[in-house]
Amino acid sequence: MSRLTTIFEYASWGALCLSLTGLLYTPYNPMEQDFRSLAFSSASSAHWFGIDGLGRDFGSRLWRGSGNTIAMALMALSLNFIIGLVLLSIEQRGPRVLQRIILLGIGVWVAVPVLLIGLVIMVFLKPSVVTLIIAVSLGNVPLVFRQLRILWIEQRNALYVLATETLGAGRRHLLLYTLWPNLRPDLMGLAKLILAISILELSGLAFLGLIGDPDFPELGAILKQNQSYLFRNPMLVAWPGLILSTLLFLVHLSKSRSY
Amino acid sequence: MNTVLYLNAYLRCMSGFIIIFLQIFILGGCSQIDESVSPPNTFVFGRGSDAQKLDPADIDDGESVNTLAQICEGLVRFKSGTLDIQPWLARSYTISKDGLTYTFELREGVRFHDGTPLNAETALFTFKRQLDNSHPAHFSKASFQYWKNLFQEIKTVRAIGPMSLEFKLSEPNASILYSLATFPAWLISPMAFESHGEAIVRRPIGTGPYRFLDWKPNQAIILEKNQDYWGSEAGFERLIMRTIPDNTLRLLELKAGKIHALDGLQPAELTELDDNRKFTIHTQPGMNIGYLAFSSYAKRLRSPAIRHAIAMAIDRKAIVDLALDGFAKVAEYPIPPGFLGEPINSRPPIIHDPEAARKILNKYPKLLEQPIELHTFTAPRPYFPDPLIIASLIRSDLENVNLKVEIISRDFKSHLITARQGNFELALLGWSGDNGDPDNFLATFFASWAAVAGSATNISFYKNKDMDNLLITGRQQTDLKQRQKTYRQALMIWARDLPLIPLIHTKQIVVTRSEVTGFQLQKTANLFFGPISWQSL
Amino acid sequence: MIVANVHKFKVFLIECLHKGIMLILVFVIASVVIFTAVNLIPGDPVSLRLKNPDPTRVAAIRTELGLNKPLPHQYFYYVISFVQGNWGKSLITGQKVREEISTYFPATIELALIALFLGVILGLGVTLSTQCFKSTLWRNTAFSLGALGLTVPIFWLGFMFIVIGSLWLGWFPSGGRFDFTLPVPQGSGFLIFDSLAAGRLDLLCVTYQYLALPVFCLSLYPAALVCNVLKTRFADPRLDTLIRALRAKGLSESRIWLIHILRLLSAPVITVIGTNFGTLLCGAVLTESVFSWPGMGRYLIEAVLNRDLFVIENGLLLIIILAFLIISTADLLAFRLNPTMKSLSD
Repeated sequence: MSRLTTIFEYASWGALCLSLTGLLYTPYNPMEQDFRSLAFSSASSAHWFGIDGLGRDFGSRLWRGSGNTIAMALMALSLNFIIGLVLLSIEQRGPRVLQRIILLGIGVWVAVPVLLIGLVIMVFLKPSVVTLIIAVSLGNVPLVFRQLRILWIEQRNALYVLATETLGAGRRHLLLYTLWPNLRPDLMGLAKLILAISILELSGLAFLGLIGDPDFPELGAILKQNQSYLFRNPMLVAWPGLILSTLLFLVHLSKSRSY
Repeated sequence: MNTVLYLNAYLRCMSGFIIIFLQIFILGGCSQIDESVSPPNTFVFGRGSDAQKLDPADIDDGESVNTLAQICEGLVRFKSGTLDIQPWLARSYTISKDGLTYTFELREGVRFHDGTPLNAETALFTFKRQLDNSHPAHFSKASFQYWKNLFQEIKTVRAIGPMSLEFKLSEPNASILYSLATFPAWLISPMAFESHGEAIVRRPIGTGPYRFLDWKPNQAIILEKNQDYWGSEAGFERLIMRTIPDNTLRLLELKAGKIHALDGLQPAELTELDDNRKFTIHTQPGMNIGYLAFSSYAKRLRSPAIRHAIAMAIDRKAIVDLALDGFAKVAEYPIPPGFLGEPINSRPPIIHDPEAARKILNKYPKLLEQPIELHTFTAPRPYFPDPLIIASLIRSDLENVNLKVEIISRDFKSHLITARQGNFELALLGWSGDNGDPDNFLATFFASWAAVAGSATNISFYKNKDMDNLLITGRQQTDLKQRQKTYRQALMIWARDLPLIPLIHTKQIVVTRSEVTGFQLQKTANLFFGPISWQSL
Repeated sequence: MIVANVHKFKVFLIECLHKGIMLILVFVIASVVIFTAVNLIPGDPVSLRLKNPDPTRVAAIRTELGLNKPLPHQYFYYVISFVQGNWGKSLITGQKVREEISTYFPATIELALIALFLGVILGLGVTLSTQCFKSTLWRNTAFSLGALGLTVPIFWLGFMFIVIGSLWLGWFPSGGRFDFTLPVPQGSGFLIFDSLAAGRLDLLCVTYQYLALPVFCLSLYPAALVCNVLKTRFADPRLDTLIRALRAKGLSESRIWLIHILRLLSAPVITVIGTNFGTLLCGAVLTESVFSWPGMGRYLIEAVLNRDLFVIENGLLLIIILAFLIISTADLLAFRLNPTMKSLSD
């Protein structure tokens, strides 16, 4: 790991944490239209990012928005890993029939793009935040499953593991002290990759209006809502995109090179 | 050593592609300069949505009407820019003393675009197919709702001579002549139905200055000059109605000269065009209303007190200022200002007072259990240039009085389907007047006969005997004073029950290039491009 | 040598067969899921369709559409009519779904294919140029640009392109697919192909002008993918050795590059494009939305939001099948081009 990657690593953690604090604290309420008389005003000392077209503090909306985007992506990520791990353990330890079915199923699943999975889900669930999270997490399951499977098989059959096993280590010891330290960096890399993909997909689907509530502070949805002010106040369109790009860029550069 | 080789190889592999791409851009540059490529005499109009259908008898959206306005014409029409009746395809008309018989003498020498001559027989088709349920062109998928709303008094239509047409009414109706100038009464060719069958709903054949050529769904409708037009010749060889959903992109296309006129502009963008001499801004108060309807099927909102409280909570001035940049007026009544029956100098029925609203709503704790569903839509309409923003403003106002609101936004077509089933709690919608009569607004919103699930214009599904009686009386009265009284009474019942909250009357805004001459805004918000042309030509 | 080739071909055939079985599986699973989803929709699609739903007409139309038969029967009816290309009419517009798809589909394919093509060229160009100029600065810049292609959200990039290319420079139209003041070339619906077939170079130019911004916007993602995958290949010292060996064999320079090296490099490129095709499709839909491009993406999203029964049943299924076909074809191609012939799915 080069020094640059380390710097980006810290920067990305910082950016994620900073975004997430937006869920707990913002200078103003991002939903309240308290400044209707100031609508469209540009940056000032009280409102660093100005006021949007509906009289809301834009900075607060961006902060909460990036928090929401990250939080949603993290939820999608966890759901994704849980499903992936469950499938993997069934595939590794379950009966042969299940094993075949899962492998075949993943082969089919991987060929269906996230957007289409989202659309199929949208047929019976109405557009909402939860629907988006489900769509994005289901869409990336095959990717996670395959990578996890490769990692697991590679590590499980590695000589040092066999050696430890022969020396009489218990399963718990094997997992916690032998396998885990070696799996951890790769898992983190995978998680970062999936996080970046999820953020991109979530904001994209939100931009397409599949998030339902037009006021929900999420970066893609904020951009969508301010799209009609592109000429009048271009910063209202520029900021959400810049923040999204910065977040993704940091996450992307901080993950190890193998992904 | 390999450095040069790599580059060499890349160029070798890619030179073919690169040449193609360079050619594209060079040629692309050429075609911009080469004016002869594009036919000079084309007029392109940009708008936010595509037409839904092109059958005059079964449409209800402005885009379809504005397309047909170039293709079809009626027996009479509104004199440009006014609400006065002018004989058009009919040379003259007579009304019997009892107001029950209308006779029209048709103009000679008019032909439909397919060559069919206009006479009493061919003109009859348009009316018969709407009147007679068993007519082969009374399509089962169409609602013919406008006929039911505007022409329900017409009992029979018949030809009483080769060029004369007679309408018999069951009851007198003061506004029927005006209604005959509106789009459901525009004539289409019967031969078109015989040769194309049900496909005529997408291939209209009328008598107007432009004829239908092609329809690229969600992209453009292409019309061409009717060489055989009976009136003054159309100004352009081609007329194109382009669909550009995004307000910003549409404006950009206007500035780039790709389109020559547009509507559905975000009023906020007008300031930017104001001092630009290349464009002319046409604006006038519109005969329209944007409103918020309560569905009668929503049990929680049945009590008029709750509706009043919600009405008091909404800051309509803020909607005018923030969503429309002042290009609108707060709507006090469900009819446009200046209409017959509008109370003068009386206290407006709805006053913005969030404090009072909060007090009333506190008595109904059940309301707070679940968020209220506010249905809205995405495409700009003449009465709501940005319906999502308006929904956001209303939600914020309602949350100020402690209500919870969930916004559900759909595409306009889908929103209409939901609204017309009464399948909502609160819904945003609007109405553009057709004939300048209060009946066209009040009966549309409050009459029980307009509350048929699926095609309702009374989307509140408001049903009240007294209201119905007043509306029927108003239709039949010819004395203005008496009519005025009737409609004032109807408005009082509305203010008591409040099935819908009027929000705003927007101004019509159409921007054209300054070279365009002959354009005039109509009270009915229809766009007639027949008379317009380039100034220099 | 011959035996080896026969064996290779056999392996390839088995792989094809495998994909074929998967295709049938995809079709069955997707159709069942979509059918179930559509039948779970609250509300009766027929009453939604009619403006005046009176019970007799609703009943008549239900019979006509076969909606009052038992569900398994309906499912088979659905599958058979899908295969026959009998896709019904849109509930909203009343147009035949097949006709609508035949207007929207070529628009998307044209956009996606050209973007893909441009993306691969861009990616190759950037990677090769980093090989040419061995300066670290240029290298880092180039690969940061590559990373940008993966990280900048495409819908935002689209707006920036509109502001720059259309508002500031005024070189390109900001949206739409064609200038309708000109006669639209008729035929397949692929405007490039149609205007070439009609021999109208001017129309071809117009088509390209409208394509330029969305295509460039969409091409950055595949370009970044190609960059990333080629970077590792070029880092491999064996490549130089291979070139030297081929040259020693006396092969001509163009033969070395066009046949051997291109083939060697195309396998990973095709694989990475194939496996990321889903994201590319998602990007195409977003691009369509930003540039008012009349393609399948907007059509399908609107259909789903509007509960347009037949469009969902047939359009969505069609796109899923096609996506699978494209991804599998890319897999198979990469498999064929890959000299080791190792199956990529495990």
